[in-house]
Amino acid sequence: MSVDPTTTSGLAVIILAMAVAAYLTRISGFFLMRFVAVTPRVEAWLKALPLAIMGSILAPIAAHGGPAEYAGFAATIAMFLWRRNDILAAFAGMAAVAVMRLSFGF
Amino acid sequence: MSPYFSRAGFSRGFFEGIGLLPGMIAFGIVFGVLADGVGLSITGASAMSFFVFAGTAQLLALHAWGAPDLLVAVVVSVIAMNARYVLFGAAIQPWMRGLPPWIAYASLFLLVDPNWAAAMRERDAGRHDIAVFVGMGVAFMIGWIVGTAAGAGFGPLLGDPRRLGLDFFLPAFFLSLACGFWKGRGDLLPFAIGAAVALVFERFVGGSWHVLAGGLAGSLTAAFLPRKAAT
Repeated sequence: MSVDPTTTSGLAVIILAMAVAAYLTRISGFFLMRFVAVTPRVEAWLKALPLAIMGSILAPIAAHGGPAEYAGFAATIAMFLWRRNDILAAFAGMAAVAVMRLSFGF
Repeated sequence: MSPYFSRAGFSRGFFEGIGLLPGMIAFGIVFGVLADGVGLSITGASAMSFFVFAGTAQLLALHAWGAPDLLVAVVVSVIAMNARYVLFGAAIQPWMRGLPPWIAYASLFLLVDPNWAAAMRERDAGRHDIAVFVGMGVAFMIGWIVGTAAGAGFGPLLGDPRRLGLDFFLPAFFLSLACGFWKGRGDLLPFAIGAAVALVFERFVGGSWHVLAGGLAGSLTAAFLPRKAAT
């Protein structure tokens, strides 16, 4: 089935299809867990999930990163250890990246 | 403890989300500029941002814009990029258990990475105020649409948002959350296995399957290995 995204109705069909797919990914895990009992092992799995996800997101960024990204990571960790504040730490990381890119062109 | 909604929780989440808006708006601008590039109007791009609300999935969909089987291509883009949300939803379910279903399913429309991570932080702190998650999601939705409209409208005049490090905001936020989750050496296992598996998948599979694969591998290893050693 072909749709023409340059027409309003074609674009509406495409956005609708994307929206349904996106919403299904958001609710399917939630829905399936209704049938899973939260045993200690399931709890251990869900507890370990955030750090596993964060490792998965950060690893490729670190692997493809240069001096600017590494300075950003270092600044983020340093600020977090100092002030224990998520957002402040993220700002410090972003600022370090901006300084590296603006002044050294990394 | 059963979950609840409070006005105080909503504003706490909302203002925490506002703190993250620079990154969200910058990301929205990037999408808006690219959407403008394939010929989407401000309205079209903003509508997509509202209904789909998934940055990386929308960016990937734009890459497919010239494809003959566009409908299939965009749906595949969304599923590949959002597959991690299946895990996010599974992890968040016990936290929301007991909430009226319509509230839970409506709240999940706003599920994105940072408010999921914030929900996990609240869960670990023993707090069950779902309004924190929703408030943060609403803030992101606003930033995402403002950024999209701005990018589609006059993005070409703004220059490269990368220069200002805006693209690094989300990774930095994830890293700082990971620091907060870090409790001891036992946490190295899920993080390291997740990172290693993600690198392999990112190299050989593409899309954003690496997040799903790394997340599953890291968390399952952590859930099964230590107990097996203990018994």
